[in-house]
Amino acid sequence: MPRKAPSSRVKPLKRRTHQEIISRRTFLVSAKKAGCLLSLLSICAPFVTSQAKAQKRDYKIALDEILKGATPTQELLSIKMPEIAENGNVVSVTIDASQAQTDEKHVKSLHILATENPWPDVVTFNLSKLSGKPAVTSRMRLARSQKVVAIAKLEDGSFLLSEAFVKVTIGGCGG
Amino acid sequence: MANIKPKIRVPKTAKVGDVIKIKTLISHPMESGIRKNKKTGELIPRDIINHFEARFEDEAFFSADMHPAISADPYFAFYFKVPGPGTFSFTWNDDKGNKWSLKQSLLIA
Repeated sequence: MPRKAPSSRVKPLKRRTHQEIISRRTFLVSAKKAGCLLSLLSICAPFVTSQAKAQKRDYKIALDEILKGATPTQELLSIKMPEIAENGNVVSVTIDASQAQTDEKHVKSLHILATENPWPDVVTFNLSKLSGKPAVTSRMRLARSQKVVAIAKLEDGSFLLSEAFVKVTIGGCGG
Repeated sequence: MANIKPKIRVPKTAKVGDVIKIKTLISHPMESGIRKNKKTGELIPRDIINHFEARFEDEAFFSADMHPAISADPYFAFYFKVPGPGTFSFTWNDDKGNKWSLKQSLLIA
């Protein structure tokens, strides 16, 4: 059984910022170089490996990867989800950007992000001029009650963003 | 894994310029990679369908890149504007390198 470092009990991992994780890593590396006591290493090492396995990612990193510094406008995109999801394993989601689409400017891609899932990326849809209406329905997993964000990228490089809050009764992460 | 079957629902005929709805479904466990085997406590390795693509006359018009947060048996409903008669082809790829595909032709009414 991998042991968690005592500090992780005080402060859950998901709430830590990116910088804090890096500083912890650099601290571990420097501690190792300094020839830290073996007992200290045996406490820290399982924590580092379990962190790599857990596949966690901050929502803001995922959002920045899509937007790349652009500011989205919060209009013309709709996201439809149930207000209360009884089963987080199967939550239907419909995103529709047809109000934003014109003959000259089509919707290039649609993204869904779940802010509180261990891995915030859900799905990316790539559309073309042949997809008559930029709307997609699918089903997704939600680990707990959270905000789900839909982003549409238009042909001219601008972004639209829309949010929905879903209350989840049973989380869909398993294990 | 042998009994994974993709299903599609596409109109057989349409008029030029019509916007038709396409529904696709494939039975797949979509193992997230963070679930643990309850007896041994080991992580069950990730196995999901990571890519889906819809083509018309060999031109991709819709594709989806999936992450583990897509539910088991991934379902999609999307739209297509009919430019003329032709053949649709749909492909699904999973993490283990398996590939499933289906074809259907569209006639102009």
